[in-house]
Amino acid sequence: MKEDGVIKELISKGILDSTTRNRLQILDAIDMSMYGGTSWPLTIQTIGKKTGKDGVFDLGLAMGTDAAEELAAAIKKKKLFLPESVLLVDNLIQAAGFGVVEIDVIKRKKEIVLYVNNNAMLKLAYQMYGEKSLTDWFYAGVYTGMIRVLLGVPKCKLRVQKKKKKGTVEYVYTYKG
Amino acid sequence: MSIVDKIVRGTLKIDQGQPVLLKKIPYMMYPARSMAVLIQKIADQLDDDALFQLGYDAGMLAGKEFIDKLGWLGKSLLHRKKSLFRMFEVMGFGKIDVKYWNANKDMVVIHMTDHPVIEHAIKLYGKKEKSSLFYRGIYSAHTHFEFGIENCKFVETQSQTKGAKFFEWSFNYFDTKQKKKISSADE
Repeated sequence: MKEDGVIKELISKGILDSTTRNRLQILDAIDMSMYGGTSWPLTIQTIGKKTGKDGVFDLGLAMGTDAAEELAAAIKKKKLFLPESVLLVDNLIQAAGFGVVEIDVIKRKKEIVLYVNNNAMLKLAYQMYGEKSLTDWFYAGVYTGMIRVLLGVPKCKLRVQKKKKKGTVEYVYTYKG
Repeated sequence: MSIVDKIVRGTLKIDQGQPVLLKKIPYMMYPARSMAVLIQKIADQLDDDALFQLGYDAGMLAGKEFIDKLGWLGKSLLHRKKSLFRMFEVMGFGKIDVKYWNANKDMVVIHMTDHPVIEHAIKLYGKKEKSSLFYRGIYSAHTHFEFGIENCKFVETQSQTKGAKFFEWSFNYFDTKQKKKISSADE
């Protein structure tokens, strides 16, 4: 499916809609909110000065885990009415607002590779803080939480790998059990 | 669909999976409940003043970006408060009711309800919730930067966390020690 296809599909099926209590929701159950793009890396970086990258990872893990649990509960109620494509974990990560990713699950979930195809927050953070950006560790936590709950890999703990490419950075997250 | 709804729907697009305002300003979109969880966890590391300041700094950067990137369009939007607040509501920033506004005297009172993150925070953490403090910082910054209330730092005089019908946030309006409106608000 094309990168933003799942979002379009959610909107066209009324799953992402602003007419419920005048706020964005997905699956008629999950309230969505927003945060300024450049403000997000600033907030993470400020916290990270105090907590270090492990603390930032834990914050991301808390957020990702809760998001995944809320999605899982909503899906359980509505599974019969959702298109199959929406139920793929990488599409759910996108629907939750955490970027466009592709997940490779290898050796019966003992190895996982998550490729970030597009995450505006990671890009902005790199523009603002370069190699010192802690936002990549925050998302390591977020994606770890999502994978633990939605893919059923409880011991997953993703690590950040970066590849520099023509003035930008590509992010890959890996786990080996 | 009302004209306001049309304006709101036209301003916010989903681009490659993430929202973009007026084709220029990227936003992060996330489940509100998970944000409440995150803020509470951040609050474990910071005292109340630092948490407010964290929100304030985020709001200042967002406000600056709004004006810098949108230029005259951003400034003209500031005069269409009804449309702007409706947009904020749809974006999950809560419903704002301006009760008093005097930019010449830097005085303001707003009532805020229906903020999805704060609602979830109250459900999860009750009176210990910290999301309202964080967002009070953010709103203070925006009220200073985009809406001309110089150095606005909101104080809270009513709180949904404590059972009130709305959050009442004000600046330069109440004498909090004497718990009454200051006299120049009537001039």
